[in-house]
Amino acid sequence: MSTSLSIKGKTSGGDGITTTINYVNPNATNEQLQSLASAFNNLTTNTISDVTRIDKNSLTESSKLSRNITFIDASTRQTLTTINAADISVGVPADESEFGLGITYAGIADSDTIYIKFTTDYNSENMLSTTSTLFYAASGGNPAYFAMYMAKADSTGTVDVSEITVYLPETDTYAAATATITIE
Amino acid sequence: MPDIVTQDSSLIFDLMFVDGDTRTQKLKNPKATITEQEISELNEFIQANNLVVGDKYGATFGRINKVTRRNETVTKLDIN
Repeated sequence: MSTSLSIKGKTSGGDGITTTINYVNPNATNEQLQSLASAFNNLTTNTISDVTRIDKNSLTESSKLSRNITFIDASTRQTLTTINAADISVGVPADESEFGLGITYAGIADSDTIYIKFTTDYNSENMLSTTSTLFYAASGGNPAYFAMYMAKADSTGTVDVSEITVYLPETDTYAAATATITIE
Repeated sequence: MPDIVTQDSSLIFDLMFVDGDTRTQKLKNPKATITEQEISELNEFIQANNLVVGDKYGATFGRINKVTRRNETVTKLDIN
């Protein structure tokens, strides 16, 4: 499984910025990872002050959803199913500015577009786009899977996501609600 | 107070793996001009050193499939 790099630096305006490079080979050497960080950063106007390898095992569970996840048919706006908040957890690494939330839902096709709305107590400008295209197709009964990353400006290590709403495309062939949450 | 308007710019990379799956990587504050050669060199560098792997078991990196520059205008409305 992949790991991530955390690149800390400054914008051209002098503001602090943290960029996370995901899907990094955990077997790469530190020297290679430094080079990778520089290669990506050279495409930006940011400067680098620090590059840190993030071990997925260092993720800590620091927040639980206080609301359920609701899956809604985008065309009818009808609620399809609800996953209990007690069964959901979102882990946020203590020193990171991004975390990932993976949601699986059986029956999604690879051509479907999923719209996800996150409601938190953070300023909306800290959020990434709330739309995401499905990346992984359902096949052989395996549930479809997609990942969504949210960025927040500070790194206090806690995000309280009060509600997640997933808008599913028009269809009448969804499998039973067996959605699970995985931490990226 | 007047509305506060900011301009945000980012690069969105579509990373494609050999099983056809794709994952997204985002970089904020891209340079004003980025050449095809720069992307090609980054792609070759990643491939040659096997620096990118997928988050599924055995997901081998294929290539940078697409790069999109996204410019957004964010307006904080003055509601007071």
